[in-house]
Amino acid sequence: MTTEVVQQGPAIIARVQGRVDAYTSPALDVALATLPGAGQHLILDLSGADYLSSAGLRVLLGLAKRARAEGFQLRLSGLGPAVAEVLEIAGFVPLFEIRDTEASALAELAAGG
Amino acid sequence: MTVRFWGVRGSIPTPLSNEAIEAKLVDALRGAQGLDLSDEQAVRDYVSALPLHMRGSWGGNTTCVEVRNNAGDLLIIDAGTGIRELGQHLLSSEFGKGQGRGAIVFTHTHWDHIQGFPFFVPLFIPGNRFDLYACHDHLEDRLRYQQAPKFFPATLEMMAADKTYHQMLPTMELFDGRMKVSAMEMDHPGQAFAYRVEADGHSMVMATDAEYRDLVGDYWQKYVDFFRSADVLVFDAQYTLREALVEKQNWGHSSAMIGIDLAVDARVETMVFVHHEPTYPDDKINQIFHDAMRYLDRVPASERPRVVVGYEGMAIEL
Repeated sequence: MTTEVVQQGPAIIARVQGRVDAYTSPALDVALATLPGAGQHLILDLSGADYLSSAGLRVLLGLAKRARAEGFQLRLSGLGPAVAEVLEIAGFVPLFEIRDTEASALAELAAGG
Repeated sequence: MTVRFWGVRGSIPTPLSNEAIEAKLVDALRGAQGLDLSDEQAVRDYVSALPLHMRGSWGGNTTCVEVRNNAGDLLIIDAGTGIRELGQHLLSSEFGKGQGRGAIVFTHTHWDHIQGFPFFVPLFIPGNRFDLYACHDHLEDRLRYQQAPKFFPATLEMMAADKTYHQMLPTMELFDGRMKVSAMEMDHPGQAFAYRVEADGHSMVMATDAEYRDLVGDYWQKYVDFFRSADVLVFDAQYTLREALVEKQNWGHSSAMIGIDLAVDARVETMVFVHHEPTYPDDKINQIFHDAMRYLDRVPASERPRVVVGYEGMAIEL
């Protein structure tokens, strides 16, 4: 599992690649811990994530809680069918703003969304 | 080894309501439309082919699991209301003649795990011998308190069987070494303990009433290690994942999805979901199971445990 972090416009984009499970999710947690910076928003692009376990879902949940507490906007993007299904099974879909692509999430945030 | 389930409901006994029974009948009759059910056998065949949650129920009694080794030694895990029916069943054996010997081990003493104890008839029959184990202290006092006259007409002293109370150790050998039981503390308000029972080269783990506050690292690994390669893992799947992690955090229970992740990592052979949420009707529990199966589908087939929903009367032979 790897996380690539880039800045584009008003958002930090974190691109997750690989399997997010009990053994890899701590690294994702660390990678996201200081994101985004002040006044920025965060897009978590999961188009490269091929497996998400309950541990990975817990990281996403923690991120959503932090977004509410710290007042930044969070978007999930690029969910493949497997990852989307896991969010749906877990009942997590209503907890997140989910966009089809990183580009659409970025355009929305750039427009003040 | 045989593992038999006498109570699988969580928190409080949950009898079927008239509305629930009526809904099952309606579903069954709708499903029968167009079928030739003109003779009784055809009706019976149709009913028996219905899924359990339609023709019956997962069960409303609270936690009680019977474990037997090949020698027939009787270990009962928890005395929820399911133990009443087990007691009736045992009356046709040596326990009905005051010649039975068994052990009861308690995961903890919350009501839903002891409430059936005063209704366990073999304990009233002189000559029967029971060894009672708990990791919690003062087990005898806890049981006596439940049966104080202000709460129940039959006191603990009126249960005439020979009862010996034991403080459970991390690992103990029961029945002259024919069964080994190991304990592990779980996250649950007031403490609960999981038990790993080993006999005849097989193992089962009873891990009910447990919340998993972290899903990574050493915290996760200690559970994986305790569950490792168990033939049967009986798992608290009371909540959905969202309930476990968000809405009912710190309530002391877990979800099917977390259970599947643990079972996969621990290479468990068969996982049994228990401690069903009392507010969930049978079809909701069935839906949770099917969602769990969808979740499990992402795991390579060679790494998947067999997963079943625990129901009253279910027996697993190892």
